[in-house]
Amino acid sequence: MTATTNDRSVPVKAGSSRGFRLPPAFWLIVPSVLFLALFFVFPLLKLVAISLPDGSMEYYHQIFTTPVFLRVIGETFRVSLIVTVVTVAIAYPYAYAMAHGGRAMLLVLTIALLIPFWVSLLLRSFSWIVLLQNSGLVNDFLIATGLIDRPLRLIRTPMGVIIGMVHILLPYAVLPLYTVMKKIDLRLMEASSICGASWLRGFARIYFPLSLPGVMASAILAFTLALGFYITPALLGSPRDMMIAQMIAGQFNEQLNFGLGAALAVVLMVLTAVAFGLFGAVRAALQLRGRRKEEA
Amino acid sequence: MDKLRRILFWLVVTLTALFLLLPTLIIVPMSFTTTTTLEFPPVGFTLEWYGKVIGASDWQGALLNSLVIAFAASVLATVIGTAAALALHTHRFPGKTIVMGLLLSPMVTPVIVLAVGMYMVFSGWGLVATRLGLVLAHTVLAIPFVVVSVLASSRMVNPSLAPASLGLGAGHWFTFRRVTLPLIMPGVLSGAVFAFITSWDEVVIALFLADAQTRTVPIMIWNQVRTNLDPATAAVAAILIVLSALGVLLSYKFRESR
Amino acid sequence: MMNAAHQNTAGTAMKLEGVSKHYGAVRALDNVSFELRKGEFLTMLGPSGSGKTTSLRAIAGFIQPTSGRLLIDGRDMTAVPPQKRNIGMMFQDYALFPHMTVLENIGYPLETRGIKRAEREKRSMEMLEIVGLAHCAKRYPKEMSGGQQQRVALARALVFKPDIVLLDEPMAALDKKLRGQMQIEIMHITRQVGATVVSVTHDQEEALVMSDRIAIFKDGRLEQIGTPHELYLQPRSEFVADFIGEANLMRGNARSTADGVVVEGEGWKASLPKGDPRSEALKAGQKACVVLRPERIHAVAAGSATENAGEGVIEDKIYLGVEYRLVVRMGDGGKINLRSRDVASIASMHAGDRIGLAWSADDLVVIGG
Repeated sequence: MTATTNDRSVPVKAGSSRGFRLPPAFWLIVPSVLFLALFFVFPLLKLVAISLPDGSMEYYHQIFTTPVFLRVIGETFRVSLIVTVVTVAIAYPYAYAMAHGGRAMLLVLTIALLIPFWVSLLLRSFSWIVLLQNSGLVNDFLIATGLIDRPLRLIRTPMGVIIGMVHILLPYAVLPLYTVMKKIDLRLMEASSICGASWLRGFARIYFPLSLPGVMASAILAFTLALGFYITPALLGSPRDMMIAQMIAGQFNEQLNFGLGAALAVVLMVLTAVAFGLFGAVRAALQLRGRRKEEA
Repeated sequence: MDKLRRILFWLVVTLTALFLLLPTLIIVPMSFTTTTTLEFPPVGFTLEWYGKVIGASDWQGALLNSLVIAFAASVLATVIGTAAALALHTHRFPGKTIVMGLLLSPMVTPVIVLAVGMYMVFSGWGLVATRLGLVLAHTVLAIPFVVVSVLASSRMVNPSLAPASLGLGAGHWFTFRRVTLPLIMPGVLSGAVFAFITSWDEVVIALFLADAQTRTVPIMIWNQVRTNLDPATAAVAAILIVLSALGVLLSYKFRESR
Repeated sequence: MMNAAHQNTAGTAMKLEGVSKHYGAVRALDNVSFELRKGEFLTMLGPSGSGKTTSLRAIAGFIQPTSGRLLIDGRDMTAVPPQKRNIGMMFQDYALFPHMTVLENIGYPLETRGIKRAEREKRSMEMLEIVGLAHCAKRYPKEMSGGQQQRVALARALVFKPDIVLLDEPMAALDKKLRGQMQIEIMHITRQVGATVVSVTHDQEEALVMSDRIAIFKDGRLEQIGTPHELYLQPRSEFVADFIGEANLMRGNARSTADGVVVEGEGWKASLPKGDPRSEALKAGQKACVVLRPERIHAVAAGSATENAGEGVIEDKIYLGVEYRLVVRMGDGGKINLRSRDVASIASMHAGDRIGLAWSADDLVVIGG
């Protein structure tokens, strides 16, 4: 590769360029690889090392036998799962409207989607605190409409965490769904209805199966991201329903048990990698299927 | 039946859009309230909270830290990321997929894991509680955004242009400066904006690496939110939202100028 | 032409009564009425935006007419949703379900009708055999050629023995070579299963090949409906005359004479005998349009004028093997096309020569106004 690049520059005439030759590919990639090796990979490896003092698995043993840790991991899964289901369920009609609602609708819905996407997670969580507090807008609204007569406790509960997380993950979930849906030809639904199928049957037999790759991608993405949430549960949740990221922070900030904290971090990293690997696998499988069909 | 379904569908979509927009939209008006607690709808109108924030020395210090760190991280990430993206775009080499994976993985690694890992490593190197430490950490987070953005814009460039320039006798550096760089400039600039915003908004790593002298605006907000919710926080939030909006507009402008 | 073969199944399959569809001020369909006979192949023909596709979609139930009624087998179906109309439809790009095999695609209308799997597959296979694709049952649509996909789409539209089958631009997605073959094939298959068909096209040749009757649309209105033969010989408007086959449209003034009615233009006249029904629509002094098919005009020596003749200058002479084609410029600058197989006599004529034109009163079509 290096040779090819140099070969091309043999008939150099412009004097100014001599000696200022751009380094070939290998050198261009080096700074990034070195930088990330030093400041990204090394810290992660360091965590692994700290979590295994003298090669002992004691911290991992502790994590997987102590009810407190198991509960936190369980809670993390539970919240992530609920958040994923709710997020995808809300994202589905939204993405449908974006894909099939016409140009004006697409513009409006995209703007509504991107504005929060660009406002920091911290600020949005802050905003939810204000909205969900006992004297907040949500409770005011619910009382005014007569749905409840005393303020609901929303903040510092799993409910608050779920609302905040769904809000943050929604744009991530909508985009893969939209990408898949806009390729679905709505005339298939017309074909289905002229074949005698009700809307519901057509949706179940035609539209939904065709949108399934988007559902999978969006669910795995939302789940993967949800596992590592820290700010939102810390601000909107109660310490009782802690998620794993908070537990990790706690080990470093308060307990000062770095080994255990590192082990928890490694567990989270592995869980995330597995979930994300799943994402890659699903995508690869779908691409393969698509290609096979193209070739045929 | 058909009509009912349609009404229900649009109701759900409208409510979802409101759900998405509501938290962002209420912050700005709340910052103008004359009350000492956060109220929505706001009571009266005052710029007092903005004055309080802008006048306070700790906010000023944090603002300076944020600007310096975000600027430095953005420059560093843009240089490193652009070089990497160019290499990935123009050359095939063994292990390219792995390098690509490495460059993008900070985007999907849970920030808390990065934060504690960096905390452990950086404390050994004397980088904790320094601006440099934060710059390096934020650069890690920002590199993937620059790579993605530059790669996207270099895919739109006619791949035969650079060889054509070389074939005409121009040198590599000359070719890069006069042909390649101008063509990928929109991607580089929008990557730089992304990088800036990434650092500007970052809170988790900063929580572990910053001290009272090096703390950034998000840390100040975090502390405010955890202790007392007052309209000053909303004022800061409003300022940040406006800045983010400007950044977004800027990055879209760069992309449009392609 | 094939009408006779189906007269034993006569009866009305469908009836449109004053159907209109307005989008704001735009009238996509304007008071369209016609009947569809059982077992016939009707083609709705017209340029784009003429209302033919809107009609098809209204028949399918995808759009609700603003006013008017649609009757299928005597029952008012205007407000009935598509899935309850028992209509089969072949879509322009087929709209096959990409995630289902060919057999599942064809079985889908049976599935929605609650037919059990075994029976479904049996009937789908029978249908696949009719369209000649029995060996493709397990394939996915993407694994098939355009022509094969079209046959699957046709099979899916026919398998449940629908009251009416709709074909939306059936040839549009095929390349030219395949079109001619599929036109014949679709015609044969639909006749074989005795289907009543409404097709939509903008291709007059396709309409002429496939249809028992043709409905010509223009600007949201039904211009004329009839067998291809009727439309060719007795077009009721200049539009229809021009749209079906090649036509010379000659505009002149009508005048009554002792022998009947004469329409005269610059350098030509066309005479209808007294009492001829065609002259009823004409009033003396009124403008009229005479339609003459190119093969019905004869080239004669200049100056041999009769009651049905004209004179002009040859502008182009084109030899087409079995016939000559002449373009003749008339006195008012208008051009007349004629085709003649009398190769020997035309060979001696040249561009720039004056030439006489003659025709028989029987071949005239006169359109008033």
